[in-house]
Amino acid sequence: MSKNDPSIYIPEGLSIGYSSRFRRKNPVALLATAESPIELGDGRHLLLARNGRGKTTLLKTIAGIIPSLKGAIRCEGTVQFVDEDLRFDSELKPRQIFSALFKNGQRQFAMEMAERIELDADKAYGKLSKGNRQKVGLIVAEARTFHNGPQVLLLDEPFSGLDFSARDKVDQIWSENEEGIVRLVCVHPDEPTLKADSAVTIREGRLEKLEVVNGTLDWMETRLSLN
Amino acid sequence: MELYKLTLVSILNRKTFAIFAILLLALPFVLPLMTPWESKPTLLEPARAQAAWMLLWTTAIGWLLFQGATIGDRWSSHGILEYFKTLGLSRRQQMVQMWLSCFTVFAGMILITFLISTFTAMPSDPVEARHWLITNFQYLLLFLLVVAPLLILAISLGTRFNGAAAYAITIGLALYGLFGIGYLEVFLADNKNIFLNLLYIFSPHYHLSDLTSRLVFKLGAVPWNELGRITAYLGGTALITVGISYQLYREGK
Repeated sequence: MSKNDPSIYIPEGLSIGYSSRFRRKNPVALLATAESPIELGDGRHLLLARNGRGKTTLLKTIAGIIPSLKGAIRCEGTVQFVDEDLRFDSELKPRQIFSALFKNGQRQFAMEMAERIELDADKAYGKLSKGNRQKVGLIVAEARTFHNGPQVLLLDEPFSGLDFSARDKVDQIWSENEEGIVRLVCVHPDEPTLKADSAVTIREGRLEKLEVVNGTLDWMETRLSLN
Repeated sequence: MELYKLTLVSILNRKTFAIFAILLLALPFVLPLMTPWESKPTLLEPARAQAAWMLLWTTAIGWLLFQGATIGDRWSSHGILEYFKTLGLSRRQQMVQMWLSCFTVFAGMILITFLISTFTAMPSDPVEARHWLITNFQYLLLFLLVVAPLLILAISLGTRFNGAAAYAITIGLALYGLFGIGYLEVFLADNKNIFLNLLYIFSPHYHLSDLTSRLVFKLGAVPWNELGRITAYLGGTALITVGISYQLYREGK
């Protein structure tokens, strides 16, 4: 891996969770610990776990929004965390959002992606369906990676409201723009349509990396192992 | 400056500023005409300046602080501030960009008031005119020293609590500093209560920035040494307000 390649490095013993000095009972809520080091490079990596096991917490810890309980995660590249709940001003149109956030090439990329995934860029954000709002967040994340050096994209359930057609198109866009981008995508373990280079799982408080053969996960096995 | 642009476009898109801008442009000319000015027409021009500045205060309290509180609340609860944090935008940079976007729009309103007060109400006597111009500049300086930090506070409280609470706290503080302290002062004239005296000392004396009566009664510019003291006091209050705002600020809810 060269110095300009984006990466995420999770050291052995890293623990994620929440701590509060104001909570007398259980001041530390430990969610998961990495039992061996995990390194993620260019490509698409899925983050799989059941509800409440710490998927979003891990993404937020990598993004530096919340501190880890133990150890330090190292990221190379510009980090973006796109929360499932990321929302823009309901009065703004996606076109205005893209204009405010991007210039020239990135703005053009955003508009082209909007067209490809069938997002009406001239409809107020507040009037868009849940899936279309998700598309705005995805476009913002993807447009920022355009000609912008090494990137680390942390996507929290980006497909939760998207139909299969939009999902396929996003999948295609990701395949076209893989170089220099680490995508760690948090998804539910019941979405067996996505390709991946590897998967990070959280099960029984352990953070582990699953290698993927030929770009596809054995979803049945993954599901069973997470239960 | 992406957060600045996103916030600015959000404010402009809602268009409420236009209502206040129109009122600021029209009412200073209309309101004085609703008084029995015919009995003394020379009062018409000072009344215009008074209306202009009072409307600017009203806009600052009614529109600007509300914008700050709601934007802080909206961006914080919608995950926008956390998103920008991951992009490397520090807490200080976020506060400055949101503050600047609100103030960019408000600057136009300040300019309207300043131009109306300075050029449509200026006395014809050259000495009075000179004092009038200086007083307007002094008023502008003191006004900014009060309003600018209150806007930061409104934004910051919005990120921590909700927009309504942030607005209520900031508007309460502004009204107390501008008018409430006057009542407290009257009350303290006959009362030696230590607690109330301490409250008076540590209260923000925003009323010091209100030079409307100087304009209306043509009392001339504030003497420079007195202006220096008021500026130092309001500047110190502003620094404390900004410091508290920085501590209260939160990127996410």
